[in-house]
Amino acid sequence: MIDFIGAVVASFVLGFIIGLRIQRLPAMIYIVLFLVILVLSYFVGDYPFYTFQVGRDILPINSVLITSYLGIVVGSVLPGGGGGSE
Amino acid sequence: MKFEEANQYRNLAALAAFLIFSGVILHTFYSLEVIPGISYLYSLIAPNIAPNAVTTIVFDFRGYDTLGETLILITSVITVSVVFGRGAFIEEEKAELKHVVPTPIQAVFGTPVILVLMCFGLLLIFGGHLTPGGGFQGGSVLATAFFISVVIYGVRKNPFHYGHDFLIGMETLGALIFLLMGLAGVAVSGYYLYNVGSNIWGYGLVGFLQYMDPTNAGILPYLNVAVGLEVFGSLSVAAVFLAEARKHD
Repeated sequence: MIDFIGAVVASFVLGFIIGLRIQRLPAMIYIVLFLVILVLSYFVGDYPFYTFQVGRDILPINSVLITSYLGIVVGSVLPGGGGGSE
Repeated sequence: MKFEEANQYRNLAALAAFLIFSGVILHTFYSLEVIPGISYLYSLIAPNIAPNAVTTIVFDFRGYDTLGETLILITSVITVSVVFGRGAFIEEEKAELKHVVPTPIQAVFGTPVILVLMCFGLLLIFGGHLTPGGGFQGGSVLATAFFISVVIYGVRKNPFHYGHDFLIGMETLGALIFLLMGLAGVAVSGYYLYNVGSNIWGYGLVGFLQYMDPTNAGILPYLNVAVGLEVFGSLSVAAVFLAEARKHD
């Protein structure tokens, strides 16, 4: 269960809007960056209380940082505003 | 539609918007009820609205002031565009920073760092009502990320295709969200920028403007997003204009 569903959804949407104008990058960059973001979100931790809650356990991973990144990736991968691949 | 005709419609729309906005502000001031010691009361109830009391003060208690601050940004961007924006509209002097070639380190690390910075900016925006941060800081980080890309790649060959139209659209959208949130307060309670999603004073509640969050922040996170969009658009447009500026006689 995620308590902060509003921030999670809104960060994905805003990331998507911002990512729409970003050029599509090679897939390897997205994968490596996702791992970097995972590490970063672990170190950021529960900075503004945004964590994943699974049952009674709270994963010390920042959820909004991850959903923002996913939104940017989805927005930039889609064809259109970004102007195609590099 | 000819340009003159479109310009007339635009002027009419601007006049209507100005009249509506002025009427709302005047109505709010007319029905204003000054409560002695309101500042003391707000300092007591602020933690009941959002954990970050500064956000409550900035966006709830003195929302007018914040609205003015955001509109200052638009004015400053207009000034920058008037002074430095000529290069963007002269075809033969297009502002390409032609000498900009990313170094190998910039080419490898530039885009990933910018993307991570953008994620961090979004995190700051959405944490504004909980901890120190918010629209101004998050929008500044987003604009800084874009400006780094302009410094590395220039304007024309930038993988971050934020043109004038998109950035001005972001800026306008942010200001519009802020103003419409204020109008929702007028419709429900008679007070401009009343926090209709929190309803701490009992004047009326708009259910769908309650932020999905364990806090009672109401419209404050939406105002944070609006300010974030506006700051991002404003500072980025200024950055683009400055990057495109050319020396003229």
